[in-house]
Amino acid sequence: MNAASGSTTVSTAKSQPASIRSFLGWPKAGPIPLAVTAVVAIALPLVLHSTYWVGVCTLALIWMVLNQSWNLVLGYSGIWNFGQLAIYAIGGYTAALVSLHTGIPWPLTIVVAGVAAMLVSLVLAIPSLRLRGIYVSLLTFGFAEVVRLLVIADSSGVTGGTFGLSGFDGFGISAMAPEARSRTFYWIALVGVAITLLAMYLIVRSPLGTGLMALRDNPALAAARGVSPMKYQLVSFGISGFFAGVAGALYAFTYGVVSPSLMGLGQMTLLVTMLVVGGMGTLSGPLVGTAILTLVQAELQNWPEIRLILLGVILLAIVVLMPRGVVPLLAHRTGRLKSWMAQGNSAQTKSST
Amino acid sequence: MLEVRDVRVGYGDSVVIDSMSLDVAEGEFVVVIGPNGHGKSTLLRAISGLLPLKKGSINYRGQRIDNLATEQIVARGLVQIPQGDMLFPDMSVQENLLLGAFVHPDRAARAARLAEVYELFPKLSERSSQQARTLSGGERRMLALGRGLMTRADLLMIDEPSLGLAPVLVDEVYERIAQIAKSGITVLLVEENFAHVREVADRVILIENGGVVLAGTVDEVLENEAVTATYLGIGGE
Amino acid sequence: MNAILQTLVSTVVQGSMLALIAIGMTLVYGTLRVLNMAQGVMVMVGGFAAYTTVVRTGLPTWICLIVAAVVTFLLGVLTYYSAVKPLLGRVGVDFEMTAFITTFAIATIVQSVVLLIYGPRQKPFDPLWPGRIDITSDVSITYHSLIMAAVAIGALVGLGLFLSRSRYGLAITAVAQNLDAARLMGIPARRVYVVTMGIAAALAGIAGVLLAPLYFVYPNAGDLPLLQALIVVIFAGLGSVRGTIYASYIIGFLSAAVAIYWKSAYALPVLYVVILLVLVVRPNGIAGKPQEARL
Repeated sequence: MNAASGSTTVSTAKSQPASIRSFLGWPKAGPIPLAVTAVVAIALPLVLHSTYWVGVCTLALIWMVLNQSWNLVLGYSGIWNFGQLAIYAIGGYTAALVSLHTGIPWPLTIVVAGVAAMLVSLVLAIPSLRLRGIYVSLLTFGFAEVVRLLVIADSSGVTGGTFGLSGFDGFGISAMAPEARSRTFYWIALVGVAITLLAMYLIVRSPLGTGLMALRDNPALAAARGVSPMKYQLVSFGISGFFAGVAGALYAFTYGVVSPSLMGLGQMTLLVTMLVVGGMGTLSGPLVGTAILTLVQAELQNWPEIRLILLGVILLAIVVLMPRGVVPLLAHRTGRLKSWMAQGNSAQTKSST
Repeated sequence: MLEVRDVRVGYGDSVVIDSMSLDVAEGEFVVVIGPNGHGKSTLLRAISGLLPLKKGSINYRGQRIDNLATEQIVARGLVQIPQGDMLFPDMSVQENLLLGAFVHPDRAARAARLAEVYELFPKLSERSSQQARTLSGGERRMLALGRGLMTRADLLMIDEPSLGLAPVLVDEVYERIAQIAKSGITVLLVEENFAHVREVADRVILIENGGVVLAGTVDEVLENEAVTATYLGIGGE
Repeated sequence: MNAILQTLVSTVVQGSMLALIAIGMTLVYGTLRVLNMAQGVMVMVGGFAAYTTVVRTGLPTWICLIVAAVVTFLLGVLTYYSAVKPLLGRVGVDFEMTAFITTFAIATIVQSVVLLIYGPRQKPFDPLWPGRIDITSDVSITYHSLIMAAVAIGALVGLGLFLSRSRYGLAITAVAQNLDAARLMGIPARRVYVVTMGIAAALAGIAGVLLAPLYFVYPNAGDLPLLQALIVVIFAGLGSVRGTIYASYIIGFLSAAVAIYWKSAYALPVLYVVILLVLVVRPNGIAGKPQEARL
């Protein structure tokens, strides 16, 4: 029974006023801004002339898929899953192995990788659902570390140990010219993000989504209303696992290599920072957070020694100063700005009569 | 001695006490009465510094204490015996008592006070090495009182000492409390049941919905028939 | 027979070391409700502090224990002020999870700083006493292992006495059992928090010195101890000191048994599976109690 009975913990989104809370994170995100963003996103690699920067954006997109999946279980369901990176890596490794040893076409391989990751995630879910919040984080974090250390210690050649796996064909476009290839990677990843975003949007608006959020904010009430934690949260783990696996497969096929470095401390710091900066529990949060941090990360490559130090400091600072993330903060400010402007309008109307 | 002025207290965004003021003069025995959930315990928690004030001020002996940490308030002699005892379950009776004297590190003084408390509560002396969780309800209440006494108090706040006790034990507890009050300690006591306190109280303050409804001596309050019906009705079980 | 003896010896040594590292996590969780993800780097820093002392000053390795303890104590205090204190009393944010992330951030920062200063290579460290003694023809134990067990057990016993006899130790125990009651007794909760985090880090630092000759001194040296400590505290149930001690020796035994009778690389995954099974049956660990949250 993982209901926090009688506890005074308050989850991240609870005390946001209802007017600010909206599924996309920004109040009233209309169709026009969405369409503009979509056009910009699609046209981006044609505008950017450097393959390096297209590559950076591709990486950001892959991480967006991962973070969206993570957001489902961490932000919307309120489950402290810190093992998502291992699920992601398992997706990557599965894709790599399938590509190395079989001739299955790549879209199918990606699905297979997603399914494999989903299965692992479900297995991890079973003990997690019986546990109270902090124990889940221990369990899942422990799981990720065990997987990582196991892979590193693997001397059988199956996973390639510390060096990982490489030499698989992935998308099968290695013959393309570098510019065209990097653009293809980008667009494939963009499709991935679009599919994930659509899936998340549908889930959040569905009874599943409302049930998950009810379980997160008020488990006792939700249970009384007939929302079964087991069922809902299991599904949440499963779906998030699937998309994490897809992200891993995308990574594997884009970069042609998978290794334990997908899972380490540095990666986790980076990705958690993305989630925290963007804010969890909103749809656009992970997107914004990932975009910002990928840029930061790209810049930090210039200072390799202190990169991780700065990242850690940024994470610490953000959590301490803006624990709900950038998106909710800006949404709150934008909301206040709009209501202030609305006040000004009505005052004008009054005085002119 | 204690001045509470227009305080507003609550948990998170909610407000439990809207604007309450009360005074306790030195040597008095003041009782705060009211139904459950209307702010009695919240008031004591705020005075002890466990809850921040949203508005208002609290003065003790002429100094503001609402911005102080709990340990500083306790060190000045404003001590609370909380509702439900809040004992340290895995520690022995003696350890619980000794911890009550944490603010007074002088070994000799502590030992002296321990002896005093054992005199007042002989049953505790018998059970001094037993774990607190093994005590009966009445014994636990005595331990809570004893522990509160170990902290040298000039103003002792007691939160619902009759809670969960059989009538016989309630009488015993109030006997002890009367003894304590007689020794010169000012008492601010919170109680739901008026019948228990009408003999001991100097003044009574009736609270409802986080605000003071009526205040005065026991006789004065009893004269007010409208209120008496409600409160004696509640306390009549 | 020899295998059993070897397992027994390993159990005592490994169990004691696990306890030394894990007990810090238990104390901090018990009083602060914070899962200190920086506990692993404290072990690593302890090792580095000792290494630096030996290399720079040539002082005997015994002094290093004290230096490591002091350095890590201060680092623990620093962690409190930077990662925990700012979160206290915040409304609308889940304290436990946020503290998990902030202490994790500290771990990353410390590890990266050490990497920057010392480089990634493993540094050797001499055992505190060279040589070994033979118990039987096939089973021997190094003097260093004996010292490890002795220091660890000594520290744990000392901690136990501190927590149950001394004024401050009882204060820590009181805060862990009932925060509000402790505050009403005049116990300065914030000061208790600082001291607890310092002590937890210092114990880990001492463990780091003891482990240095075995695992070498390098920036990632804290990863495995962190994981092991997490496994122990999950098994024990968060916040229970007694549970942590028992769990440490049980885990030590399992670890040693798997390593001796099977393959040492399997020890960790086996442990993890065991933990999983235990948790399915007892979601609060073997001795954990459901606790209220801290604000």
